Amino acid sequence: MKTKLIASMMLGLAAISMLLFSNGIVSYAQSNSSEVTLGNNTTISSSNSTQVNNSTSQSDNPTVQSIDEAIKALNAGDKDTAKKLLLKAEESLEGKSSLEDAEKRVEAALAALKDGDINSAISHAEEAKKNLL
Amino acid sequence: MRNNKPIAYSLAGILVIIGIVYCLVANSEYEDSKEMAVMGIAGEASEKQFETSFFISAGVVNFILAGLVLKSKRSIIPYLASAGISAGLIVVYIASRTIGVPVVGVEYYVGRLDLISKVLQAIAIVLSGISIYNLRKPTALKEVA
Repeated sequence: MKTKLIASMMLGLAAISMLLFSNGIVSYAQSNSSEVTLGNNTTISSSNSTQVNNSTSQSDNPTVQSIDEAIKALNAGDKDTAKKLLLKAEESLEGKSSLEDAEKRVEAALAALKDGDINSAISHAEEAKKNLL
Repeated sequence: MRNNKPIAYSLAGILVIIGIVYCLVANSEYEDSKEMAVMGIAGEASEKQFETSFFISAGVVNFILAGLVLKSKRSIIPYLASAGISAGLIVVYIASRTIGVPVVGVEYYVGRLDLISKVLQAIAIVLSGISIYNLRKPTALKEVA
């Protein structure tokens, strides 16, 4: 009887810990996503597209420009253009080991876009841009 | 001896659903690999092909495990295999989102299908554990007697 109780408790704990661990990763991803999205929205609401345009002009890097354009397209709801621009950025980052993190962020943005998760796509694109600046 | 059939059927059903989810993910990765190949992004295309093969294999393994669970009567091996493989896949997934895995590296996006499969795998581990417990209990009693 005692063994039965212990076994049930262990199984329950294993299940709960598994679920909590999965949820932990999601909440981490979501909190990351909301933080960056909030930042992005604030930028847009406070000064419309002025700051975005400034950041574009600050960098002559064509990859950063592609990502910037992709973010604008995502904000405008133009998924096809955003996808093309992100693929273009991905192409330019291909094989550059020093920019691997930015490449992975662009891939994540593409995956999120495919899933229909626009906020997450924007946040990953912003992260990719940060890694390139 | 306890009737383990309801748990075995539930576990088999969950394993089949996990297999289907993996096939859906594999199909998505395959589409991506084709798109990347057309764009001339060779490195990413081969990475996607590797992922496609991995997800198809994982799906097939889950279908086989479902069959073994349904077929087995008193053996705990299919349940041990189900729990072990599900736990292994969860560990690989967590590693892919944190420290990175060979070939693929670190992936940052947590997709909906990923979440569904991980929750189902956690349930599969719990059900496998209950089945193993149910099947081992009479043996233990006989040994004592």
